[in-house]
Amino acid sequence: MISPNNLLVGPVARLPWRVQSKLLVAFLAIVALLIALGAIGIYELSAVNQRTEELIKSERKIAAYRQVQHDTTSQLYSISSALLVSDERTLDSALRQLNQFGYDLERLQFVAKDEIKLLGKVREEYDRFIAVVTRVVGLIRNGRVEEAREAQLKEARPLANRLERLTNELVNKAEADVVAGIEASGQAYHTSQTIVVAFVLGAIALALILGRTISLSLIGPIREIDTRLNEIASGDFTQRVTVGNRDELGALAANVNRTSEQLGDLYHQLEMASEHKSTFLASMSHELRTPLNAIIGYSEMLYETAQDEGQDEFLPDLAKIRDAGRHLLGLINDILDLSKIEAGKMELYLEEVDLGALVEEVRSIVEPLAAANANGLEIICPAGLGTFRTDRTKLKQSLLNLLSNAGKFTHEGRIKLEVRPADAEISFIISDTGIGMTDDQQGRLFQAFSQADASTTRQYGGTGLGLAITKRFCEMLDGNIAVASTPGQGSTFTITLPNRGRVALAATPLPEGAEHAPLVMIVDDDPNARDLLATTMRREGYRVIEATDGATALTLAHEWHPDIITLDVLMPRMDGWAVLTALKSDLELAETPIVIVTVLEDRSIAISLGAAEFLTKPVDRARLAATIRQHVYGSGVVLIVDDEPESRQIARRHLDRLGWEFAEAEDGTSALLWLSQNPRPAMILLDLLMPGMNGFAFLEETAKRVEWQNIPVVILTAMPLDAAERAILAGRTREVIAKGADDLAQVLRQILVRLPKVTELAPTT
Amino acid sequence: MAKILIVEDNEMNRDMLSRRLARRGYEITMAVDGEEGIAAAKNQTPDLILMDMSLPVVNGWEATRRLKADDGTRAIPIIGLTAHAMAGDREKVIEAGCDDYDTKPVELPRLLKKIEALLARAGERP
Repeated sequence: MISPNNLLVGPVARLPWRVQSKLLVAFLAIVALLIALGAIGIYELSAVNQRTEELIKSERKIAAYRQVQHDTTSQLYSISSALLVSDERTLDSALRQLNQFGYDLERLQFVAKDEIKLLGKVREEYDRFIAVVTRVVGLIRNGRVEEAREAQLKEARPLANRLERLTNELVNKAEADVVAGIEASGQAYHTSQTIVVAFVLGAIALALILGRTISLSLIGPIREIDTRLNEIASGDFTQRVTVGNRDELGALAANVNRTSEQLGDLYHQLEMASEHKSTFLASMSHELRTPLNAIIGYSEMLYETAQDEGQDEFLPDLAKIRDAGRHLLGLINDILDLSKIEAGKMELYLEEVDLGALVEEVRSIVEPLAAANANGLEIICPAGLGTFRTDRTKLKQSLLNLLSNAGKFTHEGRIKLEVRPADAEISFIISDTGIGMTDDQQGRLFQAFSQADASTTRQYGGTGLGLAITKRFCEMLDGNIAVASTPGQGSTFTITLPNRGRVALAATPLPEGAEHAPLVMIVDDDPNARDLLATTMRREGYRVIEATDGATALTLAHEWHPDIITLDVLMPRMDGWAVLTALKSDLELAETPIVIVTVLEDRSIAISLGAAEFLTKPVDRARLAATIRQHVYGSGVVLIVDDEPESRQIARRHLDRLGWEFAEAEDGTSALLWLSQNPRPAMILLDLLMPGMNGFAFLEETAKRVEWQNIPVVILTAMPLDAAERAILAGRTREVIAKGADDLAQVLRQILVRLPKVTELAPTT
Repeated sequence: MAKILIVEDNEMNRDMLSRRLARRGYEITMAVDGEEGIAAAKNQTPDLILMDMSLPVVNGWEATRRLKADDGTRAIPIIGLTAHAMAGDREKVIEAGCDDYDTKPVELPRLLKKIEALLARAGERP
């Protein structure tokens, strides 16, 4: 934008004056304008004053003229009186009035000096009038009244009339002067008003223009210098400040340019040095790693050989060589990473990373580390997170760094990794209950080669580079890392990364929990209620899927076929009764047990509509758990047939936990006896190798009685089975479980879930 | 027992890897560069190849590509070995055609798991 204003800025900037002088000149210019304004004001005021004086003078003249007129009339009046009453007193008064007249005329001559011609005439007429009056008075005094009247009528009156005419003329003139004077002063007022306004506007405009011009001539260069300094701060040393100023700012700009050049040179040198350092470190790392590979590899081999040959006395020393080698390798790798990051050579490799898989991978690596210091490891990661775009290796390394640190500084405590996804960001929260840090230690935390306390390196090992690398990685991934810690209580590190390229939290909710666990669907519009139920269910080992309204519930039920549904009644749009009716009339879902959980008391409606159970809110968690357990796993009696008491005990414990009853037999014979004396059990858990009647024989016996043929049998055995044996069992049993399997509980749960519910099958129990 | 071809130019690495695998009962055959490796893969029909990716003459990347482009050798599983894990190394190695990937120095238990898994998978194939 070019305005006259801006046209001035350049020349002002180029003036080779100091800023101070420029400001002073501008100030003086404005002051001069104001002084001129003052002078004009004073001049105008004096003119007004003069005009006022003239007006007053004219008023005085008018008064004097009027007085003369009045005197004339009075004189005529007193003469007329004297003619009527010619006593001495009246005559004296007439003569005295003559004196007064004379005096007024004197005064008239004094106030109206400029009216010489007319005044001369007045004087002449007055003189004559006096002469006539004096004569008339004389005649009256001498008793010649008739003559006096004659003189009065024929001489004095015309004279008086003339006098009056003359004075009227004078009055008119003076009044004309007054009018002219008022007009003139009105005009003068307008003129002076215009002049004052013009000067004031001029002064304001001048002040604005000068102020703006000067400030622009200062601000422009300052801004430019500021921009340059910012560029310099961001590492661009190539630009120059170009300002036209020949004042202090010009000098400053020149200085900035010089400094920028010097900084640029220094920066370049530093860059070169840093690059040399990085190259050196990279090649050194490579050179160091090759012999280290050999040291680690051969020490491992020696360790294995010593182990194989029973030379156990060498093992500790060999382990030390191996561990020292690994530690050194870790250090070299960290240094290499850091030097690469600092040289800007660390590349990002963005890909779609499956969060669940990554977390599992991390868990498998961290578990032994946590166990080494007797720490518990907890990982909280919502299921079905899907993928997000990031650098898998760097994220994994960051998580491992933080988790292994947590493990290193925590003894017999807890280490926790929580993945918290949100729309825009994903947070990874790594917390421990370890030694913690002071604020001061936290401040130095992310610097390379700086463990919070130098002595910790000796005590806890580690390179002190892990956190520096982690921080750099997080920054490279456009995220950040934060720490919160209390000495003695533990630390929490939070990595926050942008949730890039990931669909927001899955539109269809995915069930959470262990893969094969029974699935509970919770239908409730109140998030708190949902949360409470879900937490209880998860704690009981179920997978949970949540629906916030009736329609979603129906969709999800079709998609996931939950093992059981808890259903709220009071929900907007579609209420629980409607959902219940819809589910029960759906062939696919009619068999799914539904537990109504509500504040209402309508148990009979619920049962008549086909609900399996009815619980009132607030729910008793234990009761809820028991109800769900009963409907998911069923209930009834399992006959455990096993000769080993320990095996029976393990089976008992698992069944007990799921709310099942059990009976025990230590061989086939006593098992058959039990069957003949008791109601039919829901399932038989059978060992194969037993003294007396073994498992195979027992199966043959049960096949002979119709009412026993269909009892589900699960084999729990330590015996290796050949193909023929497997074939026999396959026809008659549901599952063969190897004894000692760690997932016995899991397998049992699955079998029980699939078992026809005792209540439906054997009402006798 | 399965036959493993180790393609590795560093003598010590070759020595260690071959001896440790041999001790676990694998039959070992070796090559010192990519070209030899390709020849050995064709002539000796190993069950699995451990391929160092930085090799002289023909590097591991190129050797892997050629082996995977050849009908005769395509079925042989290859585990690519690189020095300290670089960003994207795993992806690049898999892209080059390797069936799995590990870093040097090898952690033998981990490498053995990968070898066993690949051999088992190859065995299942018709």
